[in-house]
Amino acid sequence: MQLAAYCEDVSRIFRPGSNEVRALDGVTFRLHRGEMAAVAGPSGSGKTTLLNMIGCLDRPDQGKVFLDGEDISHKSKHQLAQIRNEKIGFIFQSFHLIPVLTVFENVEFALQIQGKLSVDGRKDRVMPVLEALGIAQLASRKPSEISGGQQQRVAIARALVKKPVLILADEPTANLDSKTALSIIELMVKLHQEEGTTFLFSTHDPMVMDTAPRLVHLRDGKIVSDSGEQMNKNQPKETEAGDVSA
Amino acid sequence: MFLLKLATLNIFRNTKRSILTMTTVFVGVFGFIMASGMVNGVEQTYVRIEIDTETAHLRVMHKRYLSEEENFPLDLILPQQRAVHSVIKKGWPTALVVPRIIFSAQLGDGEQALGARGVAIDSALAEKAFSLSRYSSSKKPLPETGKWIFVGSIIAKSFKKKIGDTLTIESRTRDGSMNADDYQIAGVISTGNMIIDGGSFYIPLKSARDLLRMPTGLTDVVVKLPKKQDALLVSTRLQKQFGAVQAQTWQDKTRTIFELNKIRRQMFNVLISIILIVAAAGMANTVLMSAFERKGEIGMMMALGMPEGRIVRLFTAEAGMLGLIGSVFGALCGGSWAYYLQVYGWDISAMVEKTYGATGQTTGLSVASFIFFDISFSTILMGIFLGVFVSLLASLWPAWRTTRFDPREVLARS
Ligand SMILES: Nc1ncnc2c1ncn2[C@@H]1O[C@H](COP(=O)(O)OP(=O)(O)OP(=O)(O)O)[C@@H](O)[C@H]1O
Ligand SMILES: [Mg+2]
Repeated sequence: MQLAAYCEDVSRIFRPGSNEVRALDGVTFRLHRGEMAAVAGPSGSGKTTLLNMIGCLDRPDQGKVFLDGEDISHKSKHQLAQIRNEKIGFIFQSFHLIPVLTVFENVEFALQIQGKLSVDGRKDRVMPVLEALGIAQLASRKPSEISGGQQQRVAIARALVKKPVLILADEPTANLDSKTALSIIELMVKLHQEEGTTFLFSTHDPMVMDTAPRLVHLRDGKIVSDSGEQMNKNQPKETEAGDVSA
Repeated sequence: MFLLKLATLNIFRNTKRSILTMTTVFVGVFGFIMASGMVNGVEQTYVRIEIDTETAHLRVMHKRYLSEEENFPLDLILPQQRAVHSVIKKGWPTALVVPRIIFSAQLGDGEQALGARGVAIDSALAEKAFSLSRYSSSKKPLPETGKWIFVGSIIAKSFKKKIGDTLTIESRTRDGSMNADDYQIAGVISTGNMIIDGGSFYIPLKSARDLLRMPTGLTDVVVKLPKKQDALLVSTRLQKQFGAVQAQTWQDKTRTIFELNKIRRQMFNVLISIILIVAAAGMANTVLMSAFERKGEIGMMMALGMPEGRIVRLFTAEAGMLGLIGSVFGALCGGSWAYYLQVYGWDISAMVEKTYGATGQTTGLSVASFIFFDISFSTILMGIFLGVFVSLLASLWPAWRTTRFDPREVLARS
């Protein structure tokens, strides 16, 4: 199984004043393609930092980060943007939809940025995603005209539509009520199961943690437990190395 | 293309702010077009009325005449009048040489009297050079002989006289005694030149010779050439050939206007620059504010991997769009108003009357009662370009500022 993301002994050290903060402290973490993992842990434990690292929004101070087999530890700002553009889908806690665009256009936006497809090509990609997420009937509505849960579905659609290597979501349900939150997580699980989409998300919500197939616990920048560790341990070392360089 | 569409939608997000920003650009472009229309118009108006009603292209007189002009001397007559005439005709056979006697007079009707400038003129030639009948209420030329008078419209109004009424002209004769005679009004003329309309009258040259007891001699001749550009050439030739002659070209007479306009232009440039600086500051502020309001959105775009250049372009496009709309409206309003004033003129006679009095000055530069604006398509385009350019320029820094946003911060807690 190929690795979507691989962190090799990664540390991220912030220095506010003189006392340094090790937001990540020697984290080694593998996420396979088609996997779905949740990162949990107390506030300040490094969840967001880990997601930023894998999402190519940040670079490690120590160790290496591989995305889709490519070492991104020393890429430039511009190169990282390009990798995000091609390979990563983001779902944000506060959705970040563009209020002046319709649901359809918000989803299409991810493809516009890529600039690869024609008008028709984009439409052929966007509509099936909207249908799969049950929001096709909202295509011409503005974000202000739909509910929070529906807005988060639009955000998921925007992440999905470019068929990324993985989708990152930093507390995607924090702004939703628990019922809607659960339905959003169930939707992500369904996409993971049916489409094989790779998800990595962080959460505080125990109910959401229960739903995740794999749960990683962070504390003080270290992984303290990982329900998927067993599976990773079972992998022979040679294969891992091969995957990384592939 | 999609950036432009998004930029267009974005300017409606804060309509009030957008309109305010556009308004400053509007004012700048509007002001620029009106100011250029006026300043160019003033030049052309003054050149036109000077040529069409007063000096033609050239005025030839005694060398010392100009320095004593305000006394209207009748003894400083144009020397070698015939020779001057033939030199002009030899070089420019189709030129019109119009003989005149300029004198000062009192116009009266028994109740009131008014000082005015008399222009005794060869009416046939004056008709050809100035088509005086065009300005006259009678639409007929001034008769060549007889005691007929064409009187300026403002003078006629203050006497409450019309065609057919009589006015008495009282004047000092060549030998210094006083003489007076009754003249019948043959036409009330409004030329748009306040010196004429408010302070001059025309009588036939032949009748003036009796009134002024001046059987020969002219105070000056005015010359209409086939090409106005030749005025300087004629003037230098005459002055070289006749030591006692001075020739004043239309350029000489309107020089003060060009100099005044240079100052006006500078003044307007400063004014327009100030307006445009205000507009630019408003634009920069608008772009900066909307960038900070949309921090989350920009962070999202950055996270999605949108190249920084395109985010910068999105914001400059918004500024450009605001600038373009403001400029186009400014150009439309300024252009059409300036065009209206180009066709119908801007009535400044009340202003002029306040400054000079109803009778105007009696010597020197002509004074227009109407300013006809001069507006060209290129001025309008220039105005639009200026508005858009300033808008784009002003937006560069705040738009670039967005690239310093950190998507991590923006997305983490909002
Ligand atoms: N830009 C930064 N500068 C300084 N310190 C930072 C910065 N970003 C994160 N940190 C610190 O790193 C540690 C980990 O932060 P991080 O945001 O990853 O935690 P988190 O698990 O996502 O917390 P939360 O549950 O509150 O979102 C914290 O102590 C935080 O204060
Ligand atoms: Mg966090």
